[in-house]
Amino acid sequence: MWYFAWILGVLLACSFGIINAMWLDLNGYEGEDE
Amino acid sequence: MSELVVELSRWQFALTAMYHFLFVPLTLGLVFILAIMESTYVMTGKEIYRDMTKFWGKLFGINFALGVTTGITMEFQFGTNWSYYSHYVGDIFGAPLAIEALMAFFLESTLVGMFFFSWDRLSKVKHLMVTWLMALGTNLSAMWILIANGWMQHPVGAEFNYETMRMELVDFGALIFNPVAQVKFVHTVSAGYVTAAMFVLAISSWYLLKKRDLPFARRSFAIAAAFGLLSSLSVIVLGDESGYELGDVQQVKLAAVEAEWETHEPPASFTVIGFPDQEAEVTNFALKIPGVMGLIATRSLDEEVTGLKDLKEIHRQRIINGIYAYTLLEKLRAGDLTVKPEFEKVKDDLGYGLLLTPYTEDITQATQEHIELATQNSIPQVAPLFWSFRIMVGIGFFMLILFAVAFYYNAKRTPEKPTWLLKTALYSLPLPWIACEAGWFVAEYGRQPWAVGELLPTHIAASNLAVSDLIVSMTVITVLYAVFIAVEVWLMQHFARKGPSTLKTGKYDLETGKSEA
Amino acid sequence: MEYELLKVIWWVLVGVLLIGFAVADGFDMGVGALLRIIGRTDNERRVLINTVAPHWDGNQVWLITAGGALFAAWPIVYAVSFSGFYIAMILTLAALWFRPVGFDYRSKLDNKKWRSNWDWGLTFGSAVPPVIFGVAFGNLLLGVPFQFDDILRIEYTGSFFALLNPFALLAGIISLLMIVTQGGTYLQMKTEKQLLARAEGISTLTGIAAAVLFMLAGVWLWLGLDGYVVTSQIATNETLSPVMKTVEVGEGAWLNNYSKYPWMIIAPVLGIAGLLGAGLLSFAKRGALAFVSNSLGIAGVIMTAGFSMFPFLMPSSSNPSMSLTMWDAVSSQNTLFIMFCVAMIFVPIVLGYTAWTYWVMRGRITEKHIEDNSNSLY
Repeated sequence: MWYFAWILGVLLACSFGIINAMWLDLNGYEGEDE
Repeated sequence: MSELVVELSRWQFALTAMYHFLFVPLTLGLVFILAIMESTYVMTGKEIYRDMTKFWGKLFGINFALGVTTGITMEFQFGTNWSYYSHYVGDIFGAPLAIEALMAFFLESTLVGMFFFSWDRLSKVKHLMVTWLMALGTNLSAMWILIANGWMQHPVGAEFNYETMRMELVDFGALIFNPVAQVKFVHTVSAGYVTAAMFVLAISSWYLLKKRDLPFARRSFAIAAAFGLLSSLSVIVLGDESGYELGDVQQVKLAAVEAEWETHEPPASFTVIGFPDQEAEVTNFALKIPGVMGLIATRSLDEEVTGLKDLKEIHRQRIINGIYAYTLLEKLRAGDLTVKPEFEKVKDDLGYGLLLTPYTEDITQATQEHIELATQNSIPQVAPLFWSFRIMVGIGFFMLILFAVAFYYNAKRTPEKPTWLLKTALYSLPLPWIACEAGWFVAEYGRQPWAVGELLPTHIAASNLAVSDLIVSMTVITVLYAVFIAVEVWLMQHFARKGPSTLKTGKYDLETGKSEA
Repeated sequence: MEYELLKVIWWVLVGVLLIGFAVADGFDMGVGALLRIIGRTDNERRVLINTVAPHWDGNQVWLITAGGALFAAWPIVYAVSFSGFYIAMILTLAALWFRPVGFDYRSKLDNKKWRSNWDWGLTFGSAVPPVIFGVAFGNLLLGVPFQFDDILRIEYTGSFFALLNPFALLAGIISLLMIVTQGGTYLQMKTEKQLLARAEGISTLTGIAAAVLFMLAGVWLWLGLDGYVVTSQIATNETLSPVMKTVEVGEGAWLNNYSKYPWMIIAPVLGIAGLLGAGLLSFAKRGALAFVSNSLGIAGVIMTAGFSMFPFLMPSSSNPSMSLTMWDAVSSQNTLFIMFCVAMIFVPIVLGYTAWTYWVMRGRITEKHIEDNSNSLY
């Protein structure tokens, strides 16, 4: 059932994107003042 | 019907479909990147993510407008240029198109207006819901379109009715769960995600190279790298799955893509590169890896992959059966119902009989020479398929590596340091489009000479138009499409160059004077 | 479900989709057509465009859905009409192309020439399709020159210029006037001051003109046109192909249905009253009522065409017995049933969220609103 795999896969990829963004933001980039 | 009308109709369809597909992949993927950005905004409350959503949303809008514009053409064109096709398979093919409109396109188009204009009128969470539903809508659109297209590649769940002279739907479930449609859908949307990730990665890299709007560019880069990494993995895995599906149901396309002229002892070897020669039916200077082809196509070491020469012989026999089927069909339509049981036995080869329409007025009177012509043309031209496929795969693997490296530097928190990477990412911007077009070409050109696999040849599917009609439509389409793409690309680069300063929030570098355009 | 019933349901449903298209996409096409007439300054035009900005794309899907439904439910009608009216269809497409790009790109650059050109594009894209759709309907009533060979391949013998006959052009003008009134009455609900006054003035004129011309077309249909009549028995519950009946041409025959089924007279009455009402209510400055009235008028006009021709969808002037009817040009029972279920589920959902978007975007658009949000609006 590839349709099912798609739903899970795209949610996984999006979550990965969100978590990556939040994780990087948590510790901040060098030279950025919050 | 003149040969020229069929040729021009094919060119017109190819042109408009490939043009449409310049905009579709970016829409399919960018909409999820917007959803990621906005979700991050809602979760962290940091305004920069809202600005990211709005800025990339602006570029999304510019692209989306042309996607909609060229999509209308596609829906109308089956009727205008492929009227016998529309009649012959409309009973099945029309359904997913109509469902697409009702279930997906309405959702996507209604909410796209909300996405742009309701920022001040909806709560954060409600607006985020709008964005996610819009994303769902665009992708469900793709799903129904690919169910329709999957059916053209591998027609299932349908039966020929001699009274109405068309294919009729017998199993709706088979249509939806068509294995070709499923794999095509996931492979195509993944390609869209990669395209969008590349788009955001390349433009963000440019800002990083210019040292402009660093916080904005780094965060965009991070999201693109993460989303792109998983997507490019999925596109390759699912592409392999497509190959396996082809080995099962579209043997001709597989053999053509791989330039397999002969049936070899299993497991078949994979031709990495070579020069296919259609006339001589050989591939010159072929560089082969033993065993790999068999693995891709059959997932086994002992099953055969049938070569093109043997496939042609099968086709010849089916064409001869098809002539008989057509003869019986004529009797049936004239009211002689006694031949019905006989017709039921051979009707699966009727489509092969119709392959003779370009060569003879009366199929029942086809000569050996006609049959020979139809047989030789029962496979597509090998070289274009062989090369497009390799371009697509090569780019696919290259992008996987690029995203992996980008993700590595992103995780190290120094995306702006490796300028070689940023430059590579920037110049790789056109690659996903080339891969998408090449892939689409393989799928559609590889199906020839069929409009609907083994059922309806492309030649007979075309509308009986005048050459002058086609000249008018081709001129209108070419001129206007050229103007539109020039305007679109210009607007895109105009806004991409200015970056987030176009939001006029007063916060970004071109506005604060921190850097120059 | 009985095949016969499904055939009737789909005849109604396609009608509903066409009405939905004309009512919903009609108003944004009307606004597009009036763009350069009501909007004199750039800011005024932006007000007009932004009254429809959040909705035009969703509305246009009514057209896509109607096209898809035609393909799915009446494939051979879709095949014959789209390929037969080839040049007209390409012209419609070319016009429609200007709308998505026009709406989205126009205000992205602050350049007079750029904006003025897109305004022409939007006018062209919004005014041409209603005219062509009207002309197409006019030609359906006249009969279309097509026939089939023994495996149902289509032979069409008309030309683009033959479509432009006086009756069809009248139908085209009526269609344009209806759509312009639809846009004008919508603007009465969404604008204020000088724009509101102009919209009221124009809708008064176009509403009344549409009603008068619609009556004229009715008289023409009655006295001057031949209709088509099925002269053999049709087994309405069976699987049929369009070459299994006999049809004759009869003077004034398009009015036969109104004596056979007197209730059908509701349609032309609704058409005339609705269009006339839209004009008068605009004059009386009752914008919302005028919009409702014109929407009913549009429904009445489309229903009149459908009722007059029933059971015909596309009469053939080359070989009347090969005319397409709603009994023999339809998809299989299976497809009709599945598509009926899909429509029953999704049409209410679509109407639901569409209504929600109008609720969210309620209120009039002012020039100040445009100036304050210049960067984020169209």
